[in-house]
Amino acid sequence: MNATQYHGHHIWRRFRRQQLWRQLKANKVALVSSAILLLLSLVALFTPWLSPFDPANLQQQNIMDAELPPAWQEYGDRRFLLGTDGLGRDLLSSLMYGIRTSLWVGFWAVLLQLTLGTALGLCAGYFGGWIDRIIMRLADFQLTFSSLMLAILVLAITRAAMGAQDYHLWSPWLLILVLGVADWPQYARTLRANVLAEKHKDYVAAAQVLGYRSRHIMVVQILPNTLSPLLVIATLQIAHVILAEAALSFLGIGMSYGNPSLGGMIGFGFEYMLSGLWWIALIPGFALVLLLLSINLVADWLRDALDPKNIGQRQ
Amino acid sequence: MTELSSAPVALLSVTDLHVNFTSRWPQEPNIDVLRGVSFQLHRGERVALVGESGAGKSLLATSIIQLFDTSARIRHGSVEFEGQDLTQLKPKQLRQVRGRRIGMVFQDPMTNLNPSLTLEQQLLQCILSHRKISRAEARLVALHKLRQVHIPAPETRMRQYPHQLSAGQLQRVTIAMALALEPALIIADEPTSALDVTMQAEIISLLTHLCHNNGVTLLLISHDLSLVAHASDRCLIMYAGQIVEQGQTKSLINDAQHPYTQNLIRALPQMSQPGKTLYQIPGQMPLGHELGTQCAFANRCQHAFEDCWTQQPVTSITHDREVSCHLLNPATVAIQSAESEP
Amino acid sequence: MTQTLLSINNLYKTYQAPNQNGAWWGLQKSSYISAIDGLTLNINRGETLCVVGESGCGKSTLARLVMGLEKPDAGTISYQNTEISSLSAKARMSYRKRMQMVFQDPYTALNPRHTVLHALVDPLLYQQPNLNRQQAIDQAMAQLLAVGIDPVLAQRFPHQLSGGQRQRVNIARALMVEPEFIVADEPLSALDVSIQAQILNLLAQLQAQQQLTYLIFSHNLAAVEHMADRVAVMYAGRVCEIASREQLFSRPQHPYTQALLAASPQIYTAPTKHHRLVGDVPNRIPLSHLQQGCSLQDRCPQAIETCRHQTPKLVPLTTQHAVACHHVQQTSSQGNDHEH
Repeated sequence: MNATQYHGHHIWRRFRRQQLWRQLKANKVALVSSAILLLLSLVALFTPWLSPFDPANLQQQNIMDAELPPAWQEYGDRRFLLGTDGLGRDLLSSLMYGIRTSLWVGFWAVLLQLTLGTALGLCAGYFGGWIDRIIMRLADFQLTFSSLMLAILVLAITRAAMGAQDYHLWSPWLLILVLGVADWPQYARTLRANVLAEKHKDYVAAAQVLGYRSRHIMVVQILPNTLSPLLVIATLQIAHVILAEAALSFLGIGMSYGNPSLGGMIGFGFEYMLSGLWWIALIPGFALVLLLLSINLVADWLRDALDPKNIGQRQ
Repeated sequence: MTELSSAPVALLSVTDLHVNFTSRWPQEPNIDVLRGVSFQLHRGERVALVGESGAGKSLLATSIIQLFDTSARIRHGSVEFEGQDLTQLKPKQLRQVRGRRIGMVFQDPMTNLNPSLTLEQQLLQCILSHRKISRAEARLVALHKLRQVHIPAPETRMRQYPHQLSAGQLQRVTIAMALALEPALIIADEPTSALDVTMQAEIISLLTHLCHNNGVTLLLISHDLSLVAHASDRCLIMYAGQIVEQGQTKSLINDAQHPYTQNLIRALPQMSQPGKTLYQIPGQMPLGHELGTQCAFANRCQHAFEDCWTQQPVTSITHDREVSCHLLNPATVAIQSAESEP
Repeated sequence: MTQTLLSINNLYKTYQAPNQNGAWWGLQKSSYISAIDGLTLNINRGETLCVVGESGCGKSTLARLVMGLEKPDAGTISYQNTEISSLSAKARMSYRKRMQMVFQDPYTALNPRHTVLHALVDPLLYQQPNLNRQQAIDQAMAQLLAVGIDPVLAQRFPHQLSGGQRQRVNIARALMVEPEFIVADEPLSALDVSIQAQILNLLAQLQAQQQLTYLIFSHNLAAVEHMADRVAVMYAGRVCEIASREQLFSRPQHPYTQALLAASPQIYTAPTKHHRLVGDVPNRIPLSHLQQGCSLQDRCPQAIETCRHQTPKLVPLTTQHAVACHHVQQTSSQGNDHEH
């Protein structure tokens, strides 16, 4: 059974990718954005091997190397391509680790949101009745709280409760948990609307007549037909989560001192801006913008590409 | 009704129309859908366009008024309406023709009216966008049209929303909207397919009655030959993007000349004994771009011979019938006369 | 001796209607739509019973009730003398193997993300998990051949098939679990005339090969006349006439049946002006109070006083022919023979 299903899906994915690939090639902006995103992801993946220095390694830092400008400027040092920060850490290495952290947090948080939102949205849409009502009220409740505020609250309290040492260990996971749970309503609502529309179609009735159980119908029959908008939301949410994490780290609440983060680097370099040491804040800032922009452009293209009107052109 | 050959200037004259879908990818060929369609409509006529799904009849209707919703384009040919070639008009001029001179009635009455506006609002929008009259006058026109289509208590009905009326009533309202500006031609694309049998009969007789009374020409598009048998004066049979046979409806049904028309009639359940196997046309209609220079029906025709596979059939025109079939080509008639079955 | 396979007795089903009034501020009590209103029907083993009716008569509701997708408010549905309408989902499973359904729109009846093969293999493996994958695929391929589909199409998706091919796949899927009773809800209405002929032939062929019993809902009277053994005419949730095919088409008694037959387009005979009904089918008109009497009373040219007070009951005229109409019962009891 699984083999057949897999086989079917394999064929489907191959077909889809052909059309998606062509559409990607046709859209230059999306092509460039995906290339950039791919590059950044690879860098993030292989950072421990690619990065020239290890920002966590105190032995590699020399306070005498602090505040050096980027290599192409006067007083720059070839060892530190993008310069160093106030403590003598190489900016390029910190940047790479920062991107790595951002993508890591983004990926896991969105995965959590997606799973939670999908499960709840499916149940709400398919079963209806009181299950639907409870889940939707829960979603409304969740939406009234700004996710950033909620994050600040939870993280601040946890830090106070845990102490700095434990917090350092747990902060990435805590961040993922908070940001992941905060935004599930988006997925649930969209999915619920789609499930309601699909539920009345004949193939669902046919599945019921064939005796399938509810869980099977929801996951195998209905879900594949409602994935497209979820994919788009998920991609956009990666950018949102990264930005949220950056904001929290900028404020000093997110990633703790030892874990490099783009937001944290911006926050740290902020003080140096007025002294003319622009690179400490602006270079991570630029990297953040690049990351977010490429994600958003790819998500935008994906939304158009997966538009049902474009799929299923008659052969 | 007027015969083809002695007709004065036709109201609508479509000549050698070619329409295809432009492909999104430059390396793929364009899909030819209408491949050389020619016919004429005269004032006051009721003409039926019959064909199965994929034959291109709805596309032909939208090509006349150029209301494409996909990437379809007119590649070649002309559409002459009241002396103007519609294919050469600018969009602004085309808008003057649409609605004002040519009205359209679409298939599903539930979806072709705006669900969030009252009928009054929609009718007035339609009338006021083409005529410079006051709102009160437009309202009177709307009421008059609703009465013409036999809607009871039109004043109250006008203030209702589409979902408060039944499908049959909605279709009447659609017809009223099409008639509102007193067009010369009404194109009805499967106006009764979404309706029940009893409603069907009412709507068809309403259309017939209105056309006779107001001198409006009707182009009725349908897949149901039984329906158009008594609802049209002339009939055009479409297959794979071409018109294969056209003529007076009664004589066409009683004496069909093109093998496709013959098969179509033979496949009707009424033509077989109950319980016996129905006649079915073997194979499937090919898509336009799959064909080269051959007769589109060749692979399904029981009378096909070599010419059918190598050449496009020539249209043979007699005094009341046009048929595109090699069988009727005088050169081959002599050879094939022994084999052809009427 | 004919054996009754499915027996529907005095079935009732009502739905709550949404607020019908245009004004949003009024606190209107929701009214009820009576979809099935005291319906009785029997289907014999091996026969083809066609139910004819227009939209709003309750056909789809009846199909859903028979297939167990919904539960009736009152009345029973029995399969081989076992009451099935109130069974739990688990108990219903054994009946799901024996009763299957073919839907109206062949496109929405197939999951657009599943291949044809998947659509056929899945139900088989679900009901018989002991089968191995290859056996299931073999059976699916055999079924595709049986319905006249080239096995090459097995890996295609529904949007890559034509309407007729999709309907064949639907029929194949229904047959995968080897049922003995098939309900078809308007199986022809989404198809072209030439394809309708193919599907009708296929259904007849399968019935002969596999000893199937059919309950077919259709408004296509030409097809019904060709296919049916018996025909039931439905209006407003009730059966108003039921007869053998010959009797119904040659001697229809009920005014609604007569109107339907008169309005049905025939290629060689022009439509007649007789037997016209006024007004529209009461489509989704909710009743805040149940209307008394015959549901056709506002439209029927032969309505008499009794029609306004009493709901007509289905009374047999001959062994094969039953009509629910006061006028007919009155005239037949008076001993007059009305030939229409």
